[in-house]
Amino acid sequence: MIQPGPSSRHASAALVLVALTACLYDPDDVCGPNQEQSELNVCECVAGAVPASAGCAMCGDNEVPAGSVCACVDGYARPADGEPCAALPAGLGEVCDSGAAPCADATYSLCRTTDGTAGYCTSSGCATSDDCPAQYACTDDGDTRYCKRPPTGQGLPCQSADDCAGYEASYCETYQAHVCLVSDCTVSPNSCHEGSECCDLSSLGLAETLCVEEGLCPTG
Amino acid sequence: MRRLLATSLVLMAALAPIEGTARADDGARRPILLVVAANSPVNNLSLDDVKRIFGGGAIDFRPLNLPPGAAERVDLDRILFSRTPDEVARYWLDRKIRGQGGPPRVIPSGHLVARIVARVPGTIGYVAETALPAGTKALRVNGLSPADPRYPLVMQPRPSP
Amino acid sequence: MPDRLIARLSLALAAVSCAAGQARAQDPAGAEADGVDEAELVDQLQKLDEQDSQLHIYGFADFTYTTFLMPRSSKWFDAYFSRYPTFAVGNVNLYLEKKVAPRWNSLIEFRLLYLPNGTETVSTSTGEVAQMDTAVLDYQDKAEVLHWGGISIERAWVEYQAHPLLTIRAGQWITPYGIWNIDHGSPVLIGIRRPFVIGLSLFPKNQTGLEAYGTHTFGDKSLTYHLTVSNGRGPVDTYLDLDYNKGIGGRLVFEAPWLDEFRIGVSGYTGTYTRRARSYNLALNAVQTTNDVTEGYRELSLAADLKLRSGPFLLNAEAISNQRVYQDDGRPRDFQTVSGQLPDSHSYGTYVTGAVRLPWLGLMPYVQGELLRTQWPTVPNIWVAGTGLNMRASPSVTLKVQLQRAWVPDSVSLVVPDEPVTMLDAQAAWVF
Repeated sequence: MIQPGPSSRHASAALVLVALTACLYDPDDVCGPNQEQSELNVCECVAGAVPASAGCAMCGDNEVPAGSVCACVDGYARPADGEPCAALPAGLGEVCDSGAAPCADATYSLCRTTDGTAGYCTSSGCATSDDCPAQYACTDDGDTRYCKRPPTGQGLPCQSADDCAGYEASYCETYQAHVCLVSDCTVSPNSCHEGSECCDLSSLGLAETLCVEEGLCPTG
Repeated sequence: MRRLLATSLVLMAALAPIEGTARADDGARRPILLVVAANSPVNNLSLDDVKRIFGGGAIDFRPLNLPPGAAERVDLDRILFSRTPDEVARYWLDRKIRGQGGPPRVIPSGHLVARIVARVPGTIGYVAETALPAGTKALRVNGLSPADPRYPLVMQPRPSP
Repeated sequence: MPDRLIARLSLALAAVSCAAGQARAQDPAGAEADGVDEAELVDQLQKLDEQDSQLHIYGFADFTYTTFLMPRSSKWFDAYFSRYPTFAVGNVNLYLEKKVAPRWNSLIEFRLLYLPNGTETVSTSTGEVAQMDTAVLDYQDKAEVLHWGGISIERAWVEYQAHPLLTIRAGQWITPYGIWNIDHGSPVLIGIRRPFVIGLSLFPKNQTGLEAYGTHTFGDKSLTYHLTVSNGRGPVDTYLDLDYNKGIGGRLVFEAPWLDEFRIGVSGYTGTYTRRARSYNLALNAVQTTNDVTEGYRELSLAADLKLRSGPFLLNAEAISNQRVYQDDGRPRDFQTVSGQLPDSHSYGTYVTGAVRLPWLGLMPYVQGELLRTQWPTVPNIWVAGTGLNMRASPSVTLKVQLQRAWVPDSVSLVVPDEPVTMLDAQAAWVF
């Protein structure tokens, strides 16, 4: 039986050590941008960030994560899609009662009722949605042209219908985005808020019709 | 004189080579000769080279084997690979499954091996003979000729039938 | 007869006899003298030539009985294993080998499969399990129902042996790393179930590209190298590379006759994995295409292996690691948490098999142990211990029985419970 010489043994061991210590993995940086490792050891967005094409993206000023998007905080809205959240004009959207607590602001003096005499303050007499503040849409209800606010709760994150209860967007979409959406809309004419379209999902085996962002309705 | 005639006859019988076999210089020792063509540039191989050639690891030679039960093959496998015939069979099957190539071609007898080696360039075989056909030569192993008592490829003594 | 004459005659006869014997031994034309018939010689020469042009067909197969020794209520049976003891023909592998020209060799190996029949897919929205059924009516006999299967190509390569130090192989080949992956076939392998560290594919099992290898011998020792370049890993890496990067790999093996066999090797591989989603959209009377990365990572795999044999004792050991770093836009979703994505990972593990070949019936009892750190956030660790008996009933037939227990401590997976699993397998594997 021939025993290995000391130099051969050392060479063998050195080869093994060198091979096993080369590094690509950094244990201190295992997630993508704006991500952290959760208790379940998966990468989740850090507080204030939403999933993006590469890791997560931090929400901007006056924004909060709402599912997979950044939504404006209360009192703020985007003048247009993609624009930063800007403070809503004072008086717009405030809670009012057409009988007991009318709107005090001269500009947003219309108390648009949504439930009995309760409602919110907005402006009237708009010609187009350009005359309305951010995300509000100029709507004609037959009597008055006014700036209609977007559905309450729309885009809020949810895990079940309970999370959307009480909002106009009362349907919790649990298949993909997990956000509150408006349901039971009509496709033609489109009854959804401006910028959204009513989507018939019966072809996917779902009984609901849902208001989704224009262009995102599954086809075929 | 009759005794002298009788003795001569006995001597003739003893000295004439027996058909198909060869006697080594020392009656009990039978070296296994590695045979190549006489015009081969190779005259000597190390034992490790022999092991590689017959173990599937060489590309410059085309080895020829005897049948699995042949005494020469059993002994050569024992010397080169420390393996029994079954273990050698397993060795070659395992190599084939790994995709590493199969065993050397099997030739039915040592005489045929020697004849083929003489005619086909690049082949190498082994025989337990001392009388080789023309056109072949026996190689040294580790620089030792088959007649050298230190020559490593030697058959194990077996009881006469 | 006068005595002198008799003496002279005797001596002359003896001399002639010896000379004749020598002459017979050296006479090339004396075919009958060494027992070689010329026709037989021609026949053998012809067979030798034919061997060069002959297609060699051989293969291996195995038949396994599997049962799990856990209570029927074990959570393992809910989502992972079948609770019913089962017989199965596992591998049926065919090899086509041919020396296509001097120094050119070719090998093709493919595995015949019962799959995709019985393949299960789970709907992520409803949780329903769909099982593929490939039943069709035999066009030859409409009364017979057939289940068609598939073929998986394991390797297909041609190589040129330029020099002992250089053989170049092109095609699809088994990645040269470790012991288990190269041993490859069930009749050769000691155990029945591949170690988890091998099953995780920390190295790609096979690749498509070029491989160069050679061996340098120095005395009774040798050093063998392998260098590889390939498509790397991908969803269709056998015939389509989805990125500009190639996989690069290598292996070094040192062998020496220490003990009865000593072999130590190190292997490495690095490359990128890319999976893409393509779509076509008709907009403004033009077709717009997208070709987005849905999963992409760079990886580095390293391994070391050791094979020792001393008398009847055998030891095989491998240690393998894989580091995986995702591209920012190629980090896939974690299927369990839905909103989470997979982190970069460093998986590593080792297994050791010790065996002893007994002098009776070719029996070889063995024990095997394994430790593994996985890349799965929800199943971080796997420990395995097992024992078995391997019997080479003949050189071509191997019988095995194996008992194995695996632990998955710290499992938070919905489908992999945090309780041990015990498997009993018996197998017959054969070469044909």
